[in-house]
Amino acid sequence: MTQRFPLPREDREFTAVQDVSFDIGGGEFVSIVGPSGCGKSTLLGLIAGLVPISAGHISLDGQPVDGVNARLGFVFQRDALFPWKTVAQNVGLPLLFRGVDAASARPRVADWIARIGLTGFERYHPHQLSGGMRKRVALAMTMVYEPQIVLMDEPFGALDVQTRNLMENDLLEIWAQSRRTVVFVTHDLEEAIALSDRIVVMTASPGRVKAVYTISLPRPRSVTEIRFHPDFGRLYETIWKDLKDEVRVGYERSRQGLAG
Amino acid sequence: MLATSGVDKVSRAEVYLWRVVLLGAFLILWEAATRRGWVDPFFVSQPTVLAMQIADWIRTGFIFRHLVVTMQETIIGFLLGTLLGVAVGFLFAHWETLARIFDPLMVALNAMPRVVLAPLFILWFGLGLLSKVVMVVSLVFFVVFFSTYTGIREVDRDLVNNARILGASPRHMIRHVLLPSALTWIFASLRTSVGFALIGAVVGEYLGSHEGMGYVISYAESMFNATGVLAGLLVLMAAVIAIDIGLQRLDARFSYWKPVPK
Repeated sequence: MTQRFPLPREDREFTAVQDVSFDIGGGEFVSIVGPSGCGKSTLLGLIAGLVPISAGHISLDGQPVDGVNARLGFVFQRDALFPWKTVAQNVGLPLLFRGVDAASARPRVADWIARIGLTGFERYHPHQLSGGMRKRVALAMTMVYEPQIVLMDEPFGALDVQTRNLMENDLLEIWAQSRRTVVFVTHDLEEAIALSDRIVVMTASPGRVKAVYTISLPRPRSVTEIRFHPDFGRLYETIWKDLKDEVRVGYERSRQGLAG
Repeated sequence: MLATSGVDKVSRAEVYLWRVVLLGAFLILWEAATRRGWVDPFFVSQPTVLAMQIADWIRTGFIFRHLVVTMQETIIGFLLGTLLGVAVGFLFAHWETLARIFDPLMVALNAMPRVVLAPLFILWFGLGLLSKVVMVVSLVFFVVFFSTYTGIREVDRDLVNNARILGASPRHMIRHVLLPSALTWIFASLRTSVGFALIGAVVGEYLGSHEGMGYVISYAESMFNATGVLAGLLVLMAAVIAIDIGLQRLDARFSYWKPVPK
């Protein structure tokens, strides 16, 4: 697939991603890594059906993507919580949208609030929570309607390292229980290796697939401990060799104001 | 109330004390200046005379009749203007084409000084309530329209996308995303639009009416009665302060979900 955007006030188009093609198996945890501006987020927007595709096609379970798919979840880079709703209302919102009646929604909401460890915070508003807590609410909000595919756009980027590791472990645990397909965008290679089954490395803008790596580290993993696994360093070194040229190209371009 | 940074350490009580002291000093100076003949009370009246005038108005109930008329015009005009502003704002934010077609008209209409239109409104709608309500609507509408329009256009894209992913129907989108988001903007402009509403009503009355606070002031002026003018202004001022305090309470009720401003 290829995605182009018209550039405002210019007579040419900006190509965000070009000739990108890969398959993701059901229940797989795949990370997409690449330098900033390589079109990682664009890719997720396309898979989610938020943006119409310029050329090529994407299919989910054999069905072409045209518009937002109800079986899909999306965790945004910034936690997109509804500030005027409480924690419980936020988590219950997708159920409300999907016409689940209040009586059967309530236990599901309570269950997820318990799973993210926020029991007792049901009536708080997002601004009263810490960044990590908000992120957990966003995660519960996505998981509560049990989407088969979960797209995550650098979800933990804004968190401090400790909170981040805790959240990554929580995510792995949730994933292990339900085995949903996860497509995880990040620029952090360590995070990608620690979490994923496979890693797609993208080139600098316009983003193409540079390489795909299979991560055969043992599961269940703990993101803090897996880093000491003998294979971890070797994998990191191999993939970083690929990534570092792209990062340099991306950086040079962004300095010249060419990369988006 | 002015926004303060809160860096100084003066206590609330001290601030209030200073306010009372300064106001007292001003009133005493005013009273003394007129009594000693430094200034002619014909032009600036006198605090004691003003106080007696207002007390007299309250005792006879004269002022309440006029205040009620002004408040009626303000409230009816304000509600109509707000309703219209929200509706048109929503419409324009929803249908981009409509907004593009009418954009110059809206800007032009908003740029027109409404106060100058007041005589026309009186000509068209008579000396009574209607002309004042139209005047108020013409002022309030634009404030509310622009904030609703901006509020909906500036709604967080991530929130809209998130709602779409979570399965929101267009009705859900309005009810759970667009309206709450626009409400914060509308509330932010509420104090401005209420102020405009009162100005609209009073100016309308001032230019042509036989009742209301604007009429009281205009009548006193025509009699060269500085006391009447100033007393009328003082009563209006008190009304505005009362409304403003009410609005602050209301705003606090509706912004429960917002962080407390530091």
